[in-house]
Amino acid sequence: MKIVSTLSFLFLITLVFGCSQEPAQEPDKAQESTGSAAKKKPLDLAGLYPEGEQISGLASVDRYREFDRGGLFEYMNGGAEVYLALDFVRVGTREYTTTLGEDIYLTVEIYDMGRSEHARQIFQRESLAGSPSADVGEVSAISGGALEFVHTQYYVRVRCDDMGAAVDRLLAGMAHYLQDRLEAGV
Amino acid sequence: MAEDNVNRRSFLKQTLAGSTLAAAFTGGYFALRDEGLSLETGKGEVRQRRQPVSLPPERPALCIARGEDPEKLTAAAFKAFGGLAGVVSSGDVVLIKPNIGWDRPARLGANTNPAVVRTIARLCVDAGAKRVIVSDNPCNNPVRCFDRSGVKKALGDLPVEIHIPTERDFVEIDIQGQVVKTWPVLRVFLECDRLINVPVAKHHSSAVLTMGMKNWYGILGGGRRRGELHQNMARSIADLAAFARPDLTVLDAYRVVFRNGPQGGSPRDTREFKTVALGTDPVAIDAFGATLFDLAVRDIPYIPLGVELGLGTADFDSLSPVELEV
Repeated sequence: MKIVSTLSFLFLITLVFGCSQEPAQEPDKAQESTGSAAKKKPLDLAGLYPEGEQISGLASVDRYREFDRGGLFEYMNGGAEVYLALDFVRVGTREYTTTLGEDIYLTVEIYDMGRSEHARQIFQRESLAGSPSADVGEVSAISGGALEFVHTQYYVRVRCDDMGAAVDRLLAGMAHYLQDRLEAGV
Repeated sequence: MAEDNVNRRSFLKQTLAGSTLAAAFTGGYFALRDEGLSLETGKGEVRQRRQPVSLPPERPALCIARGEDPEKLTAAAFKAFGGLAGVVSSGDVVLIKPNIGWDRPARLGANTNPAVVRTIARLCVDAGAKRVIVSDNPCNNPVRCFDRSGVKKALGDLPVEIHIPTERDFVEIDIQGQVVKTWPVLRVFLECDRLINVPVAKHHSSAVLTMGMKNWYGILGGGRRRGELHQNMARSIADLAAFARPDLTVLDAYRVVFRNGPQGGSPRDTREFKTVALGTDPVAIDAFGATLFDLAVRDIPYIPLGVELGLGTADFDSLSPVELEV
C-alpha cells in the first residue's frame, strides 16, 4: 500500500509539473529582424558633417567634438538629465560661422539616442509644439532659429543664433544634407 | 631629591601651560568653525570667512526696475537702493559673479546681460574699489564664453579685471554643506572683500529655474565632477547659497531662457521680461524671480531650503520692495 501511495503521489506530482510547463517557443524571427533593424551599427558621426563650403550660407567650420554619457554634463550641464534618463549614447557637434553676419553661428548636433523611440521622445520634448514640419527625416519641426528631425535612433538639431527666412533656408539646407548622409550611412 | 622636585614642578607647569594653550587654540578654532566664521582648506589651513555687509534698516532690501534699456534699469535699481554706499568702500576687492556659463551671444539670454555687468562694474569702480574682478567658471570653454557673451567687450574700457579661470585658480575648501562637502572653489571668491552675485534668470531642466542661489555652481571647479551636484540638486544649491552669502544679488531678468534651459540655443527659447531686481536677501530675490515664470516658491525646491537654512525670506513682499518703471 505504501509503495502504491508513494508511486501515485510521484505520478501526480509529475502530472502536475508536466502540465504547468509552457511549451518551448520558437524564436520570433520577425521580432529578431525588427530588433536588429532598430539597433544598427553606430555611424561615424564625425564623417556626417559638411565642410563649410559645401552648403550655401556657411563660412568657416569649427572642430568636431563628441560627448558620451560620461561627458554630456560638460556639454549641456543640467540639460543632460533628460538625455541620460533615456538610452543616450553620444552626441557629435560642430559649429559654423555663416555669411548672415559676423556673430551669427550655426550649430549642428547629432544625438545617437540608442533607440528610435528615444530619439522621438527627445524630439517631442525639445521641439516647439505646433511648429511646422521641415519635410525632412521621419518627423521634423522648424521654428525660431532651430530645425529638428529624427532618423532611426538619431535626433538631429540644427540651430542658429538668429532667425528669419534666410536662416530657415540655411537650416533646411543643412538638414537635408545630413539626412542624405544618414541615409547613405545606414 | 630637591632638584628632582624642581624638575617635576617645572615639567608639570610646562605641561599644564602647553595643554592650556592647546585647548585654547582648539577651542578657539572650533568656536570659529561653529560660528561659521572660518573656512578650512584641503591642506588644513583655516581662512577667515568674509561676512556679508550689514546695512541700516532704512535702506531698501529689494528694488525692482522695469523698462527697455538694461543699463538704465540696473542704474535705476542701484539708485533706488542707495547706490553702493555702505557696501563697497575705498580699498575693497570686489568680485562680481555673473553667469557666463555658455558659449552663446547675449541675444540668446543664456548668460548675464553684458550691459548689466558693465553697469555694476562701473559703479564699483566709482565707489573706489581697489580691485573690481569679474569671474565665473563656465560650463563651456571659458575663453569663448567670456568673448561670445559680450561681457569681455562690454568691460573693455573699464579698469576691471576679467578673471578667466584655469585649473590653478581653485582651492580645495570644506563647503560645510549637508551634501556638498570638500570642493575646489575659485580663489578670487575666497579672497574678495565684497561679493556681488549677478545671475540671469533662466529655465533649468533639472532645477526648474536657475537664478541667484543656483549661480554659485559657477565658483566651483572639479570638471566632470560637477555632475555630482545634480544628484541632490536642491540641497546642493542650498548648501552653496549658505556658503557663498553674497553682499548683494542683482537678478538679470531682462532677456531670459524660457525653455530648454539652462543652455537654450535659439531665439525661440527666449523671452524678454525687461526686469532687473536688486537686493540683500538672496532667497527673496529668487522667490521674486520665480513669479516672472508664473511659478510659486513651492515649485522651486531649493527656495524653501534656503528659508530653512536662514538665508532669507521667500515672502519678498514683506520686504516692501521699491518698484520702478524706467
